[in-house]
Amino acid sequence: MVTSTEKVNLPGRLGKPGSAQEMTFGDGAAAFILSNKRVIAGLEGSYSITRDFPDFRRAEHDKFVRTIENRFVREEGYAKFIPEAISGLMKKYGLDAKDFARVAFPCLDARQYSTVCKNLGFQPDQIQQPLLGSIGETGAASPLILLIAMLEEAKPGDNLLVASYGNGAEALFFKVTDEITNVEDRRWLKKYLDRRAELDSYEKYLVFRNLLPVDTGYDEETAKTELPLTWRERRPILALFGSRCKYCGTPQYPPQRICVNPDCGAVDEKEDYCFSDKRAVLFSYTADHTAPSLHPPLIYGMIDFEGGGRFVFELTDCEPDAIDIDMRVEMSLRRKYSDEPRGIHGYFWKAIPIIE
Amino acid sequence: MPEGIKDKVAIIGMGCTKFGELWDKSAEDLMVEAFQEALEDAGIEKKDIQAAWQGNQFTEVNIGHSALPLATTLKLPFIPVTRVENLCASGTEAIRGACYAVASGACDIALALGVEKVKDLGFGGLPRANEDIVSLGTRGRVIFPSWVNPNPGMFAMMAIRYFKRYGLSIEEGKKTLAKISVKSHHNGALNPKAHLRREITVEDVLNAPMIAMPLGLFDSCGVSDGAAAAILVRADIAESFRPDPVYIKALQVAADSGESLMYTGYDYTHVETTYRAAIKAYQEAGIENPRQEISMMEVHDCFSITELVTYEDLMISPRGKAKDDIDAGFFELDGKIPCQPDGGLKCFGHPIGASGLRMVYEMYKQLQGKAGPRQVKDPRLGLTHNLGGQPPQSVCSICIVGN
Repeated sequence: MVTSTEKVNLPGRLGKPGSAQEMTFGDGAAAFILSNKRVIAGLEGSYSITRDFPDFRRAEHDKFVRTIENRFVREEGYAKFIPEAISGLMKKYGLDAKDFARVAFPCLDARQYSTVCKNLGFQPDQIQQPLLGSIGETGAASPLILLIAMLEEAKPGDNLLVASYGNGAEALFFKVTDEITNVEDRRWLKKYLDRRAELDSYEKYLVFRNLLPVDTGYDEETAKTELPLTWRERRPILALFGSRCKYCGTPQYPPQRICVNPDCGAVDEKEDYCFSDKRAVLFSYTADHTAPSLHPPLIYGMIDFEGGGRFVFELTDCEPDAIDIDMRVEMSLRRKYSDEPRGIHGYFWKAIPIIE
Repeated sequence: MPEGIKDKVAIIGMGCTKFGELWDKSAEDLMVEAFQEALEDAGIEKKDIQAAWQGNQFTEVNIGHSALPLATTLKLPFIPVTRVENLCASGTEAIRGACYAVASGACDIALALGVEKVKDLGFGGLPRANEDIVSLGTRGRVIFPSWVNPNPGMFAMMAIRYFKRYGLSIEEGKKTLAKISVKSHHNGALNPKAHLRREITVEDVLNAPMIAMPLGLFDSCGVSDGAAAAILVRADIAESFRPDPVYIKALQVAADSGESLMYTGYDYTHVETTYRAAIKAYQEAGIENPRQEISMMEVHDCFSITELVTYEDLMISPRGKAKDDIDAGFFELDGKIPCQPDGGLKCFGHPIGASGLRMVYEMYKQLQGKAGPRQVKDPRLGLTHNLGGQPPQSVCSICIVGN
């Protein structure tokens, strides 16, 4: 599996308040599974150039990314390196702009982006919308996120061209196969864009970015994470594996050696049962104003899984007034808590509303 | 069906401190105060006590593990002393230990004392999870949503489900719950030992800040410091100590099996442990019609919704009909079955380990005709209901006392 992520947070890639970067930087991540079986898009070729170009940099002690004049970055870097990598690739493989169904690369500014595309000979219908307005400029994750956006729409036989930008540029091209038509749900990115919500409070933005210390209503101590426990229970915690009783068929979370069904109670008749891909329904819920949260109230509910099983989970990607009993939800792996003093970030599953 | 302990054990002395934010009192102060009052009330000496049980949940806050804090504070003379804990039901658990010891003949006179000193924490509410206090267990901290304090939310979810099931809008439901708090505040205002002694209105409750939707500040009990104690003896020697001992008619506990939390059979509109404990308690006490036979009760009103479903779980109100009884004033001080005559957890306060004992203290004083302006007319049987944890994972103790 290949993943590429960019997170805008201390001490990550953060734009100074008031800067253009604050406006455009976005969080994002993309993951791919590489294989030689059931390939949906094959990597056909690449071309890279490396340039020690000082456009964005951050030393270990820097809170915020440093940059220099945008005209310099654009004219000496962006507008030179990307075309150099892309035309280098085309020359290497004997291709030109018309051979590609779509092209994409990181977008620092929408006008520069389309100018570079036009200068390379691409037509408007070949240019992938760079999503600057919806997810922002996602740094290291950007090329792969844009590749996913292209794959969502691609047809078998399409050539997709994607380039990265940073200390040079690298261009890759992929050929989409027939296998892509076997993918049931291709809304890899759309699914997230569909549940987009606007943050209308700058103060809240600062809190989320750890730039504004805020009183969470209790002292700063955090319970120690029992690491042997989280190691032993990594499948129930990170993969949401519960158990199903082989005797009566009842799914249960967390996994139980003694079956929870009051009419069963079988001992050690359990088999692995995965809950993470199961849809569920909200049996009850509340919005808790006393639980610590950076975005109070903390919303959680009793979830009944399709096929059986029930447990209590935090709800996210929703607001309290939009929730009701019987709402349909699915599970999503999220960061649940951060034990900053000990450098432990706990991940667990939260329920999110299903958006058809 | 075991014989049970009906009329085998009697209470001959009880003590209870004022509950509240007792900044200038230590846990030791509270233990001594409650104990001395109980001793005087019983008319015995300390050396007569043969065993003791200490009920306390948050040992981490100024108390300490084992029952040595109790033994060394009261200077109990090398007798068996045990600490018991069952979350908020710890107080009744202390009574249970003392009661069974006496009923079994292991000793003749035993002490049960509950104490809590949570206001030493330095911030409001129950102790949160830090290095030492992890009441949901160490795994709970990783997977539970509100690992810090699950109580408000877990009870709130029961209210949401109850309203939906019985066709109450959030507004109607909140109004019904508000009447419960108003009733308790009226009683608490008459009680000099209570923490909160102010009457409130339904409007006050509805306008109070939200805690966990739909429960607001006035739907929730606070936490307090306090202690309460009871001295128990064999029933057949009780009248040699006083003319009006109070007899234990039933004492039953039911703990959740796990099915309410992890199995879809639970309807989340009642508390199964209360219901199961009540069935056993009524059987033990020989009560066939609780609505007719119970004279008064103290139930675990950690939240107003808890009290509401408890009316039904105790089989006093029919399922789904508690609202009708509330509206008719059935549980008011001058109603058919006064509930929370001392103000309840809501007003008297909730020092967790002491609450179960405080409930019995009120029933005890009522049965002896010593409740002053809160006196219930001719009480025969008093019921206490002490609930630890939260739905759907709770432990419930029910104690029925009578004369």
